[in-house]
Amino acid sequence: MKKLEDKIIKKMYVWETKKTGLSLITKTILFLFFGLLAIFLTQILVEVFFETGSDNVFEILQEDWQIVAKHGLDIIFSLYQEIPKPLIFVIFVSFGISLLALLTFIKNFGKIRYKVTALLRYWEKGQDRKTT
Amino acid sequence: MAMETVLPTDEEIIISIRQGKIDLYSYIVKRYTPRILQFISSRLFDKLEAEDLTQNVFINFYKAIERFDEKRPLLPYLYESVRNELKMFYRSHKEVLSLDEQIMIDEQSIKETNLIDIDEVLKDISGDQKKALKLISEGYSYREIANKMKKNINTVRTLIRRARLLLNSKKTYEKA
Repeated sequence: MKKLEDKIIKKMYVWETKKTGLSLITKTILFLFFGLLAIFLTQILVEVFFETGSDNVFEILQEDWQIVAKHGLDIIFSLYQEIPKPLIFVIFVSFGISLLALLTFIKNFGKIRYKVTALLRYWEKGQDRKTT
Repeated sequence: MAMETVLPTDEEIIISIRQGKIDLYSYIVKRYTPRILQFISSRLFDKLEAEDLTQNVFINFYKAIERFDEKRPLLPYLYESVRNELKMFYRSHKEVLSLDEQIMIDEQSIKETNLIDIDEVLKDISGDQKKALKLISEGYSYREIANKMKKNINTVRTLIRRARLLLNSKKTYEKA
């Protein structure tokens, strides 16, 4: 009976190791890939901004706040017309996916920590059993 | 005085496992394995198969633990799972008489009794039925036949079943 119980528990750990490992790898890849993509595209966007001279609109921020308040909407509108929209959209989506992966990880952090600890403890015990 | 250890209830264990404390699953395994194994062994008589099915039951339960309502009693759920496993086991181990053997037996009986001729029997079968029978005798599966004949798999099943019924009825009629 003990042998059968051990077999069941081992199978359970094997399955759980695969599942947890895959989930961690997927989340890391999603976070890194889309995070880096968002940073890279933001850099390109900033370069485009400077190349087209759209950064001039920010000079108004150095003016008196009353002027800023008066022309604020115009500035935003002209900025909206000048920015490359598809690029902004891709940046937002990439950033969103990366953030989602991070938030899911943070939300389940306690659970993942317990799981990983249990898995490490089990496999270490298994190694000890093999060596002794 | 010996300290009495209080074991966690099934509900507590399931909630803890969902929180990531997966090592507590061993409590459930130790608690129910003897009963489940005994239940399966009383129906299968093959120790190895019974152990395999017991393993499947517990692994399937572990996989479904996120969806399991912890307020429900666990043992009936496990028995239900055992019943499903047994059904699948019986289905996969069902003895099947292949059509080849069926035809061989039929031919043998025809030769012995000299009552009917096989061509005579097959002449009543429609073209599609004959084709399906031919393919199944060549070892193709129902799905492959369905693909080859460009027909639905259920249609192929019906064709073969009807052909077999026709063969059987013809044989009975001739014998009578």
